[in-house]
Amino acid sequence: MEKYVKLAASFVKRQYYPHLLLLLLFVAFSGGFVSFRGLESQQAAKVMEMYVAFTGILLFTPLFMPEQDKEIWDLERSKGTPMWKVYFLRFFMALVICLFVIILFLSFMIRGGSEFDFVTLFRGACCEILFLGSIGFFASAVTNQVVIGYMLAVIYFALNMGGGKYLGNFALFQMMQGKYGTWMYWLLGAIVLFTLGVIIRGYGSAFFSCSRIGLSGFSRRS
Amino acid sequence: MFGVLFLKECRQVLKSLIYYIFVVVFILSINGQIGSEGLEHLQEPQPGQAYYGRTVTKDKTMIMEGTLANLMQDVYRGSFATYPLGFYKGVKLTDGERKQVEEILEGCTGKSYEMLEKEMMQHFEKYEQSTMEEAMAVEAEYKLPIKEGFTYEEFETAMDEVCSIVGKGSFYEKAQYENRIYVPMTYEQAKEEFDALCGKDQITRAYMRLFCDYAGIFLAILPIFVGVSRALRDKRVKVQQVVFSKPASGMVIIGSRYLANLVMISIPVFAMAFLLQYPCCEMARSMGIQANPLAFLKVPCLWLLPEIMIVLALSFFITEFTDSILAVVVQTAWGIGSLFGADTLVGNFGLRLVTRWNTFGESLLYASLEKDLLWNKGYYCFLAAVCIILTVIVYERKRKKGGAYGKVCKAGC
Amino acid sequence: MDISIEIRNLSKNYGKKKALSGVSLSIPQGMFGLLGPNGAGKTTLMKVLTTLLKKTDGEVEVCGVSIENSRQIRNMTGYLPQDFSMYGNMNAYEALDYLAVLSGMSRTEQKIKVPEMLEKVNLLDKRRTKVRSMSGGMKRRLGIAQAIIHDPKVIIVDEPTAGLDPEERVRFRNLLCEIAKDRIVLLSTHIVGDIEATCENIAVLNQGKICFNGQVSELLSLVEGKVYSVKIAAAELDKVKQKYMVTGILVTGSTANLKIIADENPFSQAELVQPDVEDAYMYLMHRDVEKKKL
Repeated sequence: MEKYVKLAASFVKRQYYPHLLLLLLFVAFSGGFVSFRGLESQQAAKVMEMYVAFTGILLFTPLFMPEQDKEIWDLERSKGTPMWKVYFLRFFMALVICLFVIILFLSFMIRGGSEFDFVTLFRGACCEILFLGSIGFFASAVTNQVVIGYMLAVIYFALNMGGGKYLGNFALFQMMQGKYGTWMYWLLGAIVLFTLGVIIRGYGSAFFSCSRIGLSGFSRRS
Repeated sequence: MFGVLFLKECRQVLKSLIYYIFVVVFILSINGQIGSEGLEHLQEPQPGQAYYGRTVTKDKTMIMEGTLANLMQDVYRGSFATYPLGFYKGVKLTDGERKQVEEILEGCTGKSYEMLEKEMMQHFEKYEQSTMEEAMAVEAEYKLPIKEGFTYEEFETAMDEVCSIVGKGSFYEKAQYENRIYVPMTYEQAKEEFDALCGKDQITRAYMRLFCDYAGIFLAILPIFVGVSRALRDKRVKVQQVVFSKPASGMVIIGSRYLANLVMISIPVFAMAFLLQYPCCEMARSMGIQANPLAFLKVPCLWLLPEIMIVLALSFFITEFTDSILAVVVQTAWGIGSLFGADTLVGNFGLRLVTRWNTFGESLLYASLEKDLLWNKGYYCFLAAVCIILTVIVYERKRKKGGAYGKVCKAGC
Repeated sequence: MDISIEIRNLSKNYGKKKALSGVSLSIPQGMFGLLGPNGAGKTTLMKVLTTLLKKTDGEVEVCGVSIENSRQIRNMTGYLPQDFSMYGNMNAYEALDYLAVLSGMSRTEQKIKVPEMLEKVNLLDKRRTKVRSMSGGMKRRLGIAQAIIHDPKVIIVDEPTAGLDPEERVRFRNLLCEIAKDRIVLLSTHIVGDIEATCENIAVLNQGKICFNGQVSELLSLVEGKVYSVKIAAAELDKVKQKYMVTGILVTGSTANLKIIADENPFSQAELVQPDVEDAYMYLMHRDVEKKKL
């Protein structure tokens, strides 16, 4: 147990803290961007879907950051602790923080006299935010580039702003239209993408470092 | 040296995965958003039509009546849309605050709130509103007559009071209500508008403005990633020391990289503009109008190039300065904030990064706002140049310090 | 043109830490070795000479040009950093071509020089090989090609043989010697064998200070008559190591063959042997430590 605490502390200290600081700013300044007072359920959902959703991108995309350097990745993979455990640990830590932030925003709205069904919005928001985060997580796992992870997650968000008509049940911003039924699709998508991400980075061979793919952006060394 | 290096950098961009993601996403997004809307319905207005569209009024009485009508609807809905820091912020008033705004309405109109509410209901119930156009017409026609002797100065004071209750960034700020009260167009106005669209705008320019509106949304965000990726690449690949030791100046190195990325990002933008302009040219030809075949170059050059320039330049600067991906977070927030912060989808450029023109036409309004747009674009061109100069300075300082500059986010980003 | 590097009283501080302290050196044409343990300040000195780091104090002139004129200095120096790398998606030809442009060469010059340099470093038949697929040795050869492509008067190579296999190392050292015919090649390393095989003039840097500057023969003379070979029982090894400076151990069964540096013959059965640069280097380092202890 002590080993995992140390691993998590080291990750936060050396790689993750700037992202947590950004998250702190994101929460601290939220009052200037969105209102928490007297919202109805759809307005409350809008706050969660269009603002708090960025928490997922901020928290889950950079989890593979230390291993962007292939030498570090190879070195860590050569050690006794399986990499999937290390990644799962980071994921779990991000998940706990994410849930905390979601509850925090919901409590801001409750204190502001907003009226919504807590359980429904909490469940929907968790699944949607995790799904958005899992896109960044998976993309950075496959490409070994955090920038691409952010890029694809933000693009997915932006595409949904334009309606997301081709995205079916995986389209975002459903709750603010009063549709609460797609949470299981988001959850399923998140589970699949997070699992694949951990598998790729945890068990990935040199193929996943993409060194043989001729596009520069795909390879750390290029 | 600059030219050769520029070409080599262009080849580097062509080998980058991020660039291809940019191209694919850009093309798909534009294709998904823009259609032939407006083009199909383009026809000369004829006398006796029921509705000719709507237009912004500068008549003070109309501004007062329209603004109060808007205020009445907001109070009735119990929700005010504000954009204090660019993002949408819905404000819901407390009972006390709501009462205050109701009193302001009563003071401006000389009628009780209950009476105003009843009149509003009667107005909207009169119409079917089965189509979007009809609904817009009904809303444009809804006015709240002011009480006799009520001056514009008194109105301004009343709106200031509303602003102090609702908060910053609402519709009730002077700059907003003076430019956003729409009234139905008359036949003469509609004809004048149509003539301007076919004459000065040659249809193609108006259509390209609509293209720029959609493209501008994506170009506020997508180039960030291309820029950050290029600026971080030397560090990631560990070639900084070798490049630093070469005699090429920072201006040549950064300048060629910046220009190469700018050109490569612009190519798909202009290509899409060219392709989308084609049906528009055909349409103009069928109407016997001389289209402007170079509109696909001229309009995006003015609307989109400065935007790409600043987004790319700022991403270069922040990344070079912090050696991190901080630019992704900061600039995405700026891009999305600017988009959400647009209080109107047509005009009101100010110093917004994303300048909106979500309409095909409104040529007369554009002509009156063109100066504002030029200021906006000129400002961002200047800012882009400043960012690139700063990037060169940071680069040269890093060169003299063996590769390290600043301490922002070194460890994590 | 006077081909030399003159360093007078050079100091470089990183905050409070002194990386270089009062370094004075005169480096003539030919191979010059810079020896020292890890963290001695070799890379800092090289970065100052390539204008990648600003000096804190002192004077440096490269071929008569003050180090402040960074553009001129960069034109006349070629640098191969310790961890040379290039964009992985470029092949050998493209990488060299790109760096040639940064070195300010015209298109015509590039067309002639790039294949010429690739041939010189034996990479011409690998010119289509991507950098990401190159072995360590190939990368270093590409690195030296980019350092000499603009025909600089001074070439600065930082730990160029670290991580190479013995054959690559020898090949690389020979290449450096070939290049050094009409220019200065400043070779920094902590591998004594590289210096021994290639350099006539050397300087030893320790904790930011020059502790030796001269010819290899002068360095060897420091330990002349002080290096002994002795056979002892393996069980006594620890005791002997504590008492003397041991530079070589070969244990066979219960006996151990030792190479010891001592001012006087430590054992009656010990034999005086010919010292090598490694012995001299060890002596120098040890002597400094002893002085500090005192």
